[in-house]
Amino acid sequence: MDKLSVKNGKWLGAYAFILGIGYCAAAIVEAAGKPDIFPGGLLSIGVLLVVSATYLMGVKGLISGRRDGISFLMGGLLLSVAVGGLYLLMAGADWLMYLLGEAEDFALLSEISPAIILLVIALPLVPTMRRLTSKMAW
Amino acid sequence: MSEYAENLSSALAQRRYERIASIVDAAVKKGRGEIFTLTDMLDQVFLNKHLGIPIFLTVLWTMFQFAFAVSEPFVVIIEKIFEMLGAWSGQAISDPHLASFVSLGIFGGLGSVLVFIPPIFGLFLALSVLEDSGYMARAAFVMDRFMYRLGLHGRSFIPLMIGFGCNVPAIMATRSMDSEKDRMITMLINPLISCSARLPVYVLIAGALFGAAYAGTAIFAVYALGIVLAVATALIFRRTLFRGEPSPFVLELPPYAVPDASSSILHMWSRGRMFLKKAGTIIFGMTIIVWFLSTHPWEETSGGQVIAESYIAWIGHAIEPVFQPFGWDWMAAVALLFGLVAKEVVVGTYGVLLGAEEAGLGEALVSQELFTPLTGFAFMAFVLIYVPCVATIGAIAKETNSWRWPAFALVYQTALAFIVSGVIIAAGRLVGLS
Repeated sequence: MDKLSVKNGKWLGAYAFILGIGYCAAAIVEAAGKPDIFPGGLLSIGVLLVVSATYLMGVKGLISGRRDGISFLMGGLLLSVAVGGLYLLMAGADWLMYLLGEAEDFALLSEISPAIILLVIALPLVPTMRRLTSKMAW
Repeated sequence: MSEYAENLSSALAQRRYERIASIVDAAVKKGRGEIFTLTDMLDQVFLNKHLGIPIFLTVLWTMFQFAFAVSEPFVVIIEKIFEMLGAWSGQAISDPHLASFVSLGIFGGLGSVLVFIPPIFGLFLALSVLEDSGYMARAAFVMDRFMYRLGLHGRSFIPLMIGFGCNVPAIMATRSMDSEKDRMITMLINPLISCSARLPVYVLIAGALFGAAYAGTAIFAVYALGIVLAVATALIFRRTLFRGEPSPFVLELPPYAVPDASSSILHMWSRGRMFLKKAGTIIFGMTIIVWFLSTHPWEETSGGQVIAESYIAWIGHAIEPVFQPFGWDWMAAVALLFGLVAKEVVVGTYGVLLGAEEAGLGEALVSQELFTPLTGFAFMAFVLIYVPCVATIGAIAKETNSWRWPAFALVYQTALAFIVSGVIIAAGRLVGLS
């Protein structure tokens, strides 16, 4: 594992903080946009808050240059990929439904959920994480 | 005698681990607590005492959404194929008896079950990926702390997870448990874990009544209800029938790995083919019986057109009063009756009774106002809880070497199904739902 410098750590900590706040904001926006949040919205809001908490728990460690911060960043990144990837697949499924004539229209913009946007924002972290963990065994 | 054997095995396990600890102390030189592997790093997050369970629930939610929301277009494709086959058989076969048998009995009944291949295979694929990645063992570990408090053994978690696929191998998997009491509790609560056979019923009802946006969540809620009931029942059993503390839980966590696509697909197939096999044998046979009962006497039903005059309507009306307080009609009563054999048959029965192809089955449920969201959810809960399928009853009998425990499971689950569904209906009506 490459050394995590304090400078690097601060930069990664800031990134994790932005992502954590981003997911938290997305959860608040989703809750505000759904007056009837039970039962569907409640779980998707909970999922966004879990991803947010994972990123935020790594901030302190990253800023202090500790490796445990990277663990939380990596965990958050994996959750971002899983949740954002799921929303991407759901958008693909909606497109297929449109092609099959089961949906009246398909608006790409309305399919882009906050989880997809946040996944795109998180993706630049992947090369950094790979570099930091490249020499590590499973 | 069994208590003595348990104490003996606990004492042996304790001595074994004491010996291991002394060897490890002498042979292993510990570092300064540094993280060395990716597995250590990931475990810091996934086994975190605050985040472990929320992350596990997030993973479960993602898995169910993947299985149900993403598979929807593939369900539609299969529906369209069966629609074409149904239309073709109606035109090509001149004999009305045979045409009814092929279009309603085969394509109507069996077809309405086969459309659930995409979500079931999707769920199995997600489970395989989680297993191959090494996360499933962590899920057991994370849940152990929680389960121990509820009187369950950490090792119970693996059979319970297998129960999401099928309760039969799950009950067989309890053989790995040392303590007879822990094993009995795990076996008896396992049928409350929602197996894939119940999935077609949920997908049909939730898809029709809750819409695509909320169907996945409604299904998740039923799965969660099953888990809550299993845990609560375990707690009651631990304090009444099987008193005592759960035995200690020791689990070796494998390192994480990037799942291999081919092996995940192979695992998915090996589980999914059980569903296909059952669809081709038990479910097929049952749909033929349901078709016969719903179209005969042939003259009185005008060749299967007037189901109200059929044998099945007679049976349904006879048992309808039992389910009337829940807002379910005679068709639901018949579907539940035939679902005793295999839960998927509930959907096949509706397929035949409503004379609808799979594409129109959900719409038919809505247009005929057979369920409201409240009564539909209560019906899903009833299907989850009531009498385990015959294969599960057989597995419990085989594993316990007695018919006493399967009979007990049958009685307590049926009673529980009535209570829980009744509570759902009553609570819903109390807050103004119909």
